[in-house]
Amino acid sequence: MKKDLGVLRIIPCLDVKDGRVVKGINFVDLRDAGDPFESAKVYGQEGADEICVLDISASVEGRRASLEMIRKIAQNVFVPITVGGGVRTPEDMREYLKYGADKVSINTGAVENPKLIKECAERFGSQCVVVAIDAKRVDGKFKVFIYSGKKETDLDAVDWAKRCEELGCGEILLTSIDKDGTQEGYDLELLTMVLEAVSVPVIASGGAGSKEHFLQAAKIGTSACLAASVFHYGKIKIGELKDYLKDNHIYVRTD
Amino acid sequence: MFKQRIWIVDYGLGNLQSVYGAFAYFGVDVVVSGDPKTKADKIVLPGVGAFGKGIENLKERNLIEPLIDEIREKNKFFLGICLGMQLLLDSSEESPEHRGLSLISGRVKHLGNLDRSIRVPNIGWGRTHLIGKLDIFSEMRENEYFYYIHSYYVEPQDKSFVIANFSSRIIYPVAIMKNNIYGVQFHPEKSGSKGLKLIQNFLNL
Repeated sequence: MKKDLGVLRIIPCLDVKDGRVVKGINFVDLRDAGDPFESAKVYGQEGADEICVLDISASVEGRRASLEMIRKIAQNVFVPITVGGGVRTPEDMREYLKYGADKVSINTGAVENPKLIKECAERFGSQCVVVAIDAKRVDGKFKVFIYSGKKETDLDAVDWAKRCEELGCGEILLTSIDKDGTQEGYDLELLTMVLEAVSVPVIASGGAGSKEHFLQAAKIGTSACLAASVFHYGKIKIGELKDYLKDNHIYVRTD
Repeated sequence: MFKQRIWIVDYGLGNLQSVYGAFAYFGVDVVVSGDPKTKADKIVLPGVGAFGKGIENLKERNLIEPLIDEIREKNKFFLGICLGMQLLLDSSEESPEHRGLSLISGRVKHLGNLDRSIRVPNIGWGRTHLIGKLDIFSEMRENEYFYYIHSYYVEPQDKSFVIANFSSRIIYPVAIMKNNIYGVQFHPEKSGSKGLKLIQNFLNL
């Protein structure tokens, strides 16, 4: 398994719908979890290494994420921002980058048109092209789902991750739909399979519920840990999490 | 902070909003423009993207000569960020058919050359060893964390231009300085409080 040069990143994720942060369980039963702009600013100040903003209804509604929201967050948050939702063309990605995203994540758009990954990587550089993979166990295999988990595809998650790397993506944001919002821990089996299959960084997502869960993912070599519920509802503070990881010999950024 | 005007060069690549936000945070006059006649006290060349595309975009906008003139002839303080620094060198393995600005001699090389066992691109917070207590690094610790997102690194011919090295797992140059010209591989506008400190130091030059 390849090694990361940087330290483990802790990434709060804002799932945005109708201008509000929401959070559900297994991608459904969404509840309000705050204002995206305020949340991003506070997480940035609390030591988040990066912030992920996903417009979860953009693809379903066939539109882009709010460019004004991206601009407002980018101008006031001094850590990297990954924006996703509704990216169908390199032009969409160009707009997100122009309005202040540092990286753009593609999910449905990449599955339906894999060439998009290559076009975006050639135009903007691999480093800002993130492919988000939503995976779910179906008959003992990890299948890729699109449209915010609403549509099943024939793709195997590990094969798709490899293909994304070949096409030039710079990072994989790997979400387990089964674990999403459950707070019972990351899907370490899925994570290990993808970490071994690709040499680009992999972000673990879905299921973080305690500090131990972050430590488990760090120990198997994940590049970053993304979480939502535990941060939104104040169950874990980023500073305390980093102290805990440091005490357990995981390198993290502290000021 | 003294009154000054900062030109953030818009050449169609790069995270302009974030760079704008980080400089505007200090209350200075910031202009984001691709107009080669832009007048300012200091110049910032941001950039996220490929080397070849960067040079082509600068060319298309007739920015190369005015930039070289402002930097080399008028000695304006200049900060290149990420690709904006790489473009200062002669060439890059990323686009062998393109020539750089050659304001600093040297080459841009792929990180994989240094160590085949690392994940590339290098995305994340890297421990950075600051050599000496130089102006843009003033009031910082010997080692600080900055945010990186890149696949290529600079190798200036003259090693004395290197003012910081990446220092976790492998070592390579990540900040350079030659007279009034500064370049950083990491993103100060994305590196939290330490990044803002670097920008403040640059504004204080």
